[in-house]
Amino acid sequence: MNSLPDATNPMPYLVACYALGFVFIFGYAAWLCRSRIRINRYLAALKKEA
Amino acid sequence: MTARKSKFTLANSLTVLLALVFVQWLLAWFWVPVDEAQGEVYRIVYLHVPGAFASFLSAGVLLVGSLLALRSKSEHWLNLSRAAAEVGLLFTLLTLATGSIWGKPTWGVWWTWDARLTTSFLLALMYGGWILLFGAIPQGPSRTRSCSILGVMIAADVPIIYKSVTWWRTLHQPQTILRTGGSTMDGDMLSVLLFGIAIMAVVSINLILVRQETLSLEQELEEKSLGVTS
Repeated sequence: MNSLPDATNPMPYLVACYALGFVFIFGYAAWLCRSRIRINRYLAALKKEA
Repeated sequence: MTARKSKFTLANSLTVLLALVFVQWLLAWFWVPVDEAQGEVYRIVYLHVPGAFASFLSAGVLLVGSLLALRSKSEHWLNLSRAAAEVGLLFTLLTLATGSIWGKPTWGVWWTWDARLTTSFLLALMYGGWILLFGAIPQGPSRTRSCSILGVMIAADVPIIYKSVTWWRTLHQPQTILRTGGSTMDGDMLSVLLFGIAIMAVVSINLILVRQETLSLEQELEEKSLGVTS
């Protein structure tokens, strides 16, 4: 395994990775939930109209 | 009644799973010991590796959906394939991005055309290509056949990615979990990593199934809308 030079600060790399993970995973899940709720509302409205 | 039940199941299961992901990240940041060689930056492994396994698992689901779609010629299985391609692309891009960020302080470069990185990049391109192909061909047997064949090819890349560190001389580190003689990782590190892999696998399956259901509902909505206006 490679060693880090002593002066390298790991925090920016760690924060960047986990922030990306949060945006990707939690963001996609939130978008899925929102679109699902929206479609269910449209379907319910169409059923009422019919 | 049906809509409310679906919302309840979706909110609860996904919320619980994402909470477990968050717990695993807290363990990765504050509980596992620091690495002797890499120091704190190695903690990226607890996101990078589970993400990679989730992308492989998505390819597996894509393979199943593709084979079933070829056999039954049904749009239902193509919806599963499409969901798997989207989720697979998400996790592959996450793996590439976290790997690149990890590579800078450890290897000194953001990217290199190493065997594992190249085959993983190819996976991302193929996932994206699947989604574009799906959108480019009109609905019908031709789309089902073309997308399913590409789905099988995507799945074929996964064992190549996995064995790339064994078959070729690579910059990427060799296998550390499943290897002859047992894992080289510390017990605490390995347990949190395995927990992360398991949770991310379940999250990816959940996301695929939810997305598949959403695609089916979208189709139902489109059919009902056309029925109302005509």
